[in-house]
Amino acid sequence: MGKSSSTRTVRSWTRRGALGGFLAATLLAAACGGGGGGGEAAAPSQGGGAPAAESIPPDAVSITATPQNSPLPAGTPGAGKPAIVIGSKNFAEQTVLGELYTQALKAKGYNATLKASIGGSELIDKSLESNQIQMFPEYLGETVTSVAKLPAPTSASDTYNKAKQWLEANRASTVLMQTAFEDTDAIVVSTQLAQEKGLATISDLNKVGPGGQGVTVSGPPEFQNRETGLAGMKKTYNLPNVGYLPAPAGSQYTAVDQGAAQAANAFTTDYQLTTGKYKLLTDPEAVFGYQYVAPIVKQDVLAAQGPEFAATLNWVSGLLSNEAIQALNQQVQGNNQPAGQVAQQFLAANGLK
Amino acid sequence: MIQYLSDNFSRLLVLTLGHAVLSLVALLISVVVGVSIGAYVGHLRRYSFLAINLGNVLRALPTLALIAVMIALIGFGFVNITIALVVLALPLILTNAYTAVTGVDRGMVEAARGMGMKDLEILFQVELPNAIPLIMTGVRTAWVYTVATAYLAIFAGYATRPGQLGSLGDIIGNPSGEGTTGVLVAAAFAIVLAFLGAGLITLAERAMTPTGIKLSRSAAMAPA
Repeated sequence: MGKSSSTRTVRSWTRRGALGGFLAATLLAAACGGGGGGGEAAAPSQGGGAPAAESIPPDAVSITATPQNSPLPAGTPGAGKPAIVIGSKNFAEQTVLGELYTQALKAKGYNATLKASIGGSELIDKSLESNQIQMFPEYLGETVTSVAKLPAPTSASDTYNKAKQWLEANRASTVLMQTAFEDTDAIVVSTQLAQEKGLATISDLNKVGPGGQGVTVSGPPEFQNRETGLAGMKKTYNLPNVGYLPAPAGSQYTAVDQGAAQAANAFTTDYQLTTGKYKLLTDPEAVFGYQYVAPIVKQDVLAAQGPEFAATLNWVSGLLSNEAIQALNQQVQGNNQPAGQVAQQFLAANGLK
Repeated sequence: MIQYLSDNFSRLLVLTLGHAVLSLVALLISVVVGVSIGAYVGHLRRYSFLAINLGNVLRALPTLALIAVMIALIGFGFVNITIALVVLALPLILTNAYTAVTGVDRGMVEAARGMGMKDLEILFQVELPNAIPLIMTGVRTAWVYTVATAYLAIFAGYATRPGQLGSLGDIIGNPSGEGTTGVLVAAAFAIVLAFLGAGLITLAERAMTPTGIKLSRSAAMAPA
């Protein structure tokens, strides 16, 4: 898959054009959504956006990569540098992230290979610890709570700092700048229900019925009794009467469509959110934590590869807004395009030569 | 493990009951449909290719994939998981019933016909009684398969909530919430349920087998 970055065909050119157009369209839609905040009833197609997840929290501005603070280094600074193996976890979004970082490094002359679909947070951490991989993109809240087993952090910057400190002390690794998007658990309802009852935050579920009476949330089994899941949500937002419908990952939206559930446990980067059929309820108490993505890299590798290495990775992170990752997920999960090809088109559309 | 057991004992009993109900409903449907079709096709000694191959196609369907497809088609809940379990159990019972009935001694069937017995009389009075041991073997295997698979109820949207029993899948399907201990304990309950049910089916088989067959069997097994 990665080889395709060197073989350009007419066909991939036209596809690239299509993706560029698609990205432009979603960015345009986001701009409209920002401008027309008053008329939410008149513009249901913008109800599916994730305004809260898009904006960078004020405390995280200095640690978040953006196109402004992370330009692409010139030339091929990676020529002659030692080889590096990059890992990614076992689901579609991670494969795209792994491809993006790997292909960007390759284009800059680095000798990078991708080991995709390694496993969950704990397993990929073991791969890093045993030096089978030297870098992987991770959701930093996962590092803090699932891998380091520390108490849940209270802000985005707290999450970043705790992850960084723990990795430096225990894995001889560090984190680069984080993305503007985060992929955290979220609660979505149908746009129709949101408009009927005036739902904007999770605590608004109280408006449907006292204590969330009449609301069933569909989600995977592990969501039910996690503190960063349904159990924590019921406590924090005082929703003791919310019901639960187990649904395999991916079919939560089906449950809402069929009316078997009124709300679904989703991820903020799900491409389904771009359809406008669903409204993402914001999580002001941050029950679901902070899951911004940053590359975790071995410190000795970072030193050996030179400063342009980190700059290239930060450039990729800077491109990844919430709209961008949703569009990438749409291409891979919704349209069944190969992740490597989608990543290549995205990077090229953003000016990677 | 003992701690988990004592903390969750009543819940485990309820879930095991739900698990048993779920498995039993699926098994009963499979027995009624599977034995009827299998025995009749076996009696006719025709259409067997169709019936058996259709059964084998059903058997090849992965249960979890079937559940996922049916979520889109018929929705979540009890009906979904029951259909999935019937699809699992039915082919086993059907093929065994067919094999059992075709395996009945031809001479005996012809003798019955010669005595003036009608088709249905032959099926119910000669073929089926003689086929019971093999049919019940199929039922017993199907029961074990069903109990071992019914935990998938959790992925079909069937779990404990007011007015619904749930299944041991509530625990087995949620290792990150219940821990490995919980999964092991719940799996142990499922194994006990499978053995208990298999034992009961064996008892039922003994009660249903005609005395003549039991005698001829023990005569065949006795040293000459």
